[in-house]
Amino acid sequence: MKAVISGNDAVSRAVKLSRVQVISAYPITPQTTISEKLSEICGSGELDAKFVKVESEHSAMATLIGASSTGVRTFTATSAQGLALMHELLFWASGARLPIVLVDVNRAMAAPWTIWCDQTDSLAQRDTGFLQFYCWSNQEILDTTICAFKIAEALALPCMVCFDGFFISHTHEVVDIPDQTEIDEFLPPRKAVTKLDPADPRTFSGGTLPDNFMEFRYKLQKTFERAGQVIDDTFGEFEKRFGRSYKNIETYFIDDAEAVLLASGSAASTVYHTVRKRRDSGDKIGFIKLRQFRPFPETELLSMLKPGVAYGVLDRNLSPGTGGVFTQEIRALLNRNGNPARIGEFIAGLGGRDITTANVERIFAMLKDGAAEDSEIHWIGLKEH
Amino acid sequence: MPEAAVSRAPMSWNKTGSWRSSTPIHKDILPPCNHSCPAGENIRGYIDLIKKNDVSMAFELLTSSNPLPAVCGRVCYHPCQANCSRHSFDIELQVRLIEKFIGDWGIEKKIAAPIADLISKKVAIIGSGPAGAAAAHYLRRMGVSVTIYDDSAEPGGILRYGIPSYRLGRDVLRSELERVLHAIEFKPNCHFGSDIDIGNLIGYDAVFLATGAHISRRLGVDGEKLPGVESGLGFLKRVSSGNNEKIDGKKVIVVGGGNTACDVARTAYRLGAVVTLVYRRTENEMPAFSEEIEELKREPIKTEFLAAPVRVEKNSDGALKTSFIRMKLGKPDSSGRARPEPVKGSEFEIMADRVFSAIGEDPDLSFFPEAEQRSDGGFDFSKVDKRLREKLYIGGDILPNPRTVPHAVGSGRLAAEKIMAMFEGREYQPSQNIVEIAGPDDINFIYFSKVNELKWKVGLAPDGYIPDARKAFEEAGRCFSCGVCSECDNCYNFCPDMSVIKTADGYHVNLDYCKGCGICAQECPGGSIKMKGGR
Amino acid sequence: MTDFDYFKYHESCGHAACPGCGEKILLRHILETLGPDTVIVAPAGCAAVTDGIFPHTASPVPFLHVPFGATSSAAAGVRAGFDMQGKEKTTVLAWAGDGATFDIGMGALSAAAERNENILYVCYDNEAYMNTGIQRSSATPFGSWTTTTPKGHLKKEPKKNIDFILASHGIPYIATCSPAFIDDLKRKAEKAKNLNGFRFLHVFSPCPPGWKSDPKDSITIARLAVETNIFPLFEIENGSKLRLTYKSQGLPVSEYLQLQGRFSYLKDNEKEKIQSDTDSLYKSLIDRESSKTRSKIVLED
Repeated sequence: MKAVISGNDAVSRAVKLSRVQVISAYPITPQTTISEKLSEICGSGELDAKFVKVESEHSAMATLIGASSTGVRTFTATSAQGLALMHELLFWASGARLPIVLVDVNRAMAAPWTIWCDQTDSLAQRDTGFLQFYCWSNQEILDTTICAFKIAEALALPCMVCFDGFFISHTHEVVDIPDQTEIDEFLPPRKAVTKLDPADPRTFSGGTLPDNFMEFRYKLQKTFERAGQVIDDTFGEFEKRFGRSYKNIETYFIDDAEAVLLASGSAASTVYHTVRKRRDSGDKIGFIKLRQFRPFPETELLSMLKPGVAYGVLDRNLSPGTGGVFTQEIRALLNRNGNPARIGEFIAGLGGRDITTANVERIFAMLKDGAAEDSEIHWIGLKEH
Repeated sequence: MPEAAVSRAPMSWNKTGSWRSSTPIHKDILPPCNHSCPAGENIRGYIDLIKKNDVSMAFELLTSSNPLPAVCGRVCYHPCQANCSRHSFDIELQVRLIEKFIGDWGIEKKIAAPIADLISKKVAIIGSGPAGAAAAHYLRRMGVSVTIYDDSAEPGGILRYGIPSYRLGRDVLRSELERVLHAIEFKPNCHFGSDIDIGNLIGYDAVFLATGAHISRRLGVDGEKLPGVESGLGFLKRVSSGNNEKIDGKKVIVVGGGNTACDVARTAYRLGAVVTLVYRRTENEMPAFSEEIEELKREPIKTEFLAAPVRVEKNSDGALKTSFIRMKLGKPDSSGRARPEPVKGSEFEIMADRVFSAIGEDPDLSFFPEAEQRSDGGFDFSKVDKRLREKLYIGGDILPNPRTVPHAVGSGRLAAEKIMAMFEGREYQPSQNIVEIAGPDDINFIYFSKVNELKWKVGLAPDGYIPDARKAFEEAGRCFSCGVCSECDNCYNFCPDMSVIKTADGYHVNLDYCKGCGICAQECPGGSIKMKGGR
Repeated sequence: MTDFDYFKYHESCGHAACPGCGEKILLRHILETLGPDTVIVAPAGCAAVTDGIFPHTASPVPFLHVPFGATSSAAAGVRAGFDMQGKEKTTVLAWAGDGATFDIGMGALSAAAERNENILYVCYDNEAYMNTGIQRSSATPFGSWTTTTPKGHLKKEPKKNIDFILASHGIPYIATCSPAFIDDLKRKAEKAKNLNGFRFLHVFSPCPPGWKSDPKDSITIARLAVETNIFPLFEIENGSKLRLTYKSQGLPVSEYLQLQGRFSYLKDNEKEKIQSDTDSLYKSLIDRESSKTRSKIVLED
């Protein structure tokens, strides 16, 4: 059935449809309405789950580590400071191979304080071993969150589903919400391989020596290497059942493009809109939507990016001292595979500054002007300082 | 290897016993009461049985070493109490109360001493005092036919004729001896030479001589043969035979400082005499039991210390004028006590109607005049008729032992064991090798509560306390069980490494994991676990 | 005489604790009381580390290692997970040291208590961060040496009173326990097991290396702690009803202090302060026990 709901609402619906069993979350703007809605449906029994109302995000993830270890399906949502507060536990969740699903409503990291959107918060967690997806629509949020449980449980990896705070979280769109029975067929209950069980006592995450820690990390890496296939298969099955397709990279008008911009999140839809409009006027520009960050869609990108095209990456984030994270990752990918395609780095929209179509047109103009050839950071929309 | 670090294998391969530098050893060691008991009683053992309310087993255990608990509960000087570890903590365990209770119980229940079917051995015992009675009892228990010869009319020896009845009641003694000597032939009024001689003895398979030491030493002064100057021990014997000594209102001097002197003084007092006890050293050197001295002091008996008699003269009115000289303490003599030296010109006189000497007794060896006294005070019987020499055993006050009832009982039982070994053609082996003796340092006092006073702390005299089952049980509850495991489970509960295991044979240490921390040894209340160096 | 099972002997042998460790005595007796239908949630600390190294464990029950500071919340999560699977009877036992409880996990502890999470939380208190090498915690008593309160700079703050803090949360049951008083410990563990809601056992855990004491003295010290009123044995029900469970002998604190090298730098006036502070704290316990005017906060299940 179709409904007009916000991005945060889409999360709650997905959590309910996925029959999550233990939730633990701490409110933080702009995630709060997720917590509130989930409290309601847990309280009313609409969702048969325990909602542990902890006193901090660190405790929220700790609670889920405990719960997930018993073999139940678990969920939390947070933003920025909250996600950062969970940092040590994110490593723990992936090291312990717990299929926890976390929704991060992207928000810029303080200081100074801000509640507005950028993606630094989730990207700064890229080393923690969480799968990461970036959504640009409420439909995508609903669908990706549901699939996240299936993927996470298949791989025994935790998964982070991210989307922009306010721009997406608080914007209402039409969303097609599948039936519970349909989802139940797609997403059966979790079957944990090993779990806390007095009938079969085991010890979890005990001390390791230099003798065996590295092998666990090797296994984790190998799991990430095969994750791409599992993700594709999952979204493939989703497409068959529900008719909506999600690829790890989605491309628009790139075949004959002279300049292509790569972007994620709400900015991606602005880029898409701009490109489509300009194509109507014959402008040979294209757009690549980045929606999967971990594992990074290496094979697809490599085959897609070729020399002679002016590529630009729109980073709504900053890794101080280096620049945009997506830029970094793509440049490194190209370099280690000997792909000579050039990437122009564009930082915009930090702290919720709007990325407008004008900004996007300016970027394409710069790209055509050779911005991809230099290695500067191009700050878009920066004011007098 | 699993995908995540999930551990399943145990840690039991980690033999932390390799960390040890010292190892706990569970070993019962000798409690100080047991060690100090001249009769060899397993005092801790029977106290433990009383704790468990098993009076019958306690009686059996006690009488397996000492057949005369009702007697000893009254007259033994109980070195066990002086050595009791509890003495350093609050008040020593009143063992005599428990022993008396057990003994009286045996009498009340008329428990006849156990006997075995007769084997074809017979033993003659000369003397029915504590040594003779004990030997007779243990031999008859093994099925030996026993005949006791005694020159008195009733059995008991010193118990009957030396120790006054105010200390050991006649009825109790009679009942206990009836219980113990019921299957034994007793021949009273047998005097050596006239009623019995060496010829009678040769027919026996063994002879046990326990005639005691009741030959009073002479004062060694002029006038000692005057009428009225007598042996103190002889006085006691006559009194206990029913003689009327007619000393009511008379003045009596008792010379001496030992138990006999005290018994004489207190008996004379009870017969109405006005008594002065004279001793050549001070109260500190008196050889009598300290409790005896305390009780003497509580009675209106005058004491003169540091004085010795020099002569006795008869006055014109028939009274005895006894002259004494003051003594001073000089250098120690062979007994370790200061040698008394006369102070020139310090003579003084005391008038008396009777003078009793109680300055020591010598053993009665009238049976064997050929016995030679050795330098240690014992006797060499090598010149005795060879038909008797190899089967002659001696015990009691004849031996150069302290002259106490429990020593005598112990020597009687020892003689019985040696005689049995001889009958069975084997070497006599002592039943225990003393290696370690427990003491207050072995006790973890924290497991016990102090009592500030004991309502039933008793002296030697039986007056004033009636031990009953409740008192005996409560008193037994205070026993530390020194050196012996009391199965309190402390070691088992407090081991951090689960290395103390309970087995059918007691506690066992799992040396694979024991890290040698020493908690078990420290928390053992009675000190039956010790840490020994090494693994 | 019977041998012990402790959920089958060899499953729990061979742990790597120091000789004389108080925590292992406590763990065994508490687990024996709770039974095998128990799951341990333990943060970084002595207990977790001495349990063993992958792939070995000395725990006969399921044992979930969790990060430092996460104990109470992780335990709450385990509880939630079990309850969702119909395992309401399984005991969730949080097993944390004083560092994890009084300090880094304090926020989570207070929150779990306030929510009256249905877990049994045992804090084994060895009065410092022992696992990392004897650094001070807020449970370290006044005057104690630690590596971060070295000679000349001994701890000057008093021990945080975790029991009263939790009492203010109104939780169903708080009890202090000592390994020298096993019967009292087991009774309290049994009582805690049969209650619902947040139950807290504060158990005294002697540490020979950290306290600079002889390993053989661990039980003696634990006993003296109670007898000198340094660590009185009591229970608090519903945050208000306090009951002393052992009448101590009131021995002088010097008997307790002299067995531990960590107190060997104290000056006389500091020892006197310890005595008088101990006396007044004990008196406040007595007063609280007899007080009828304490207000009650009773938490609903």
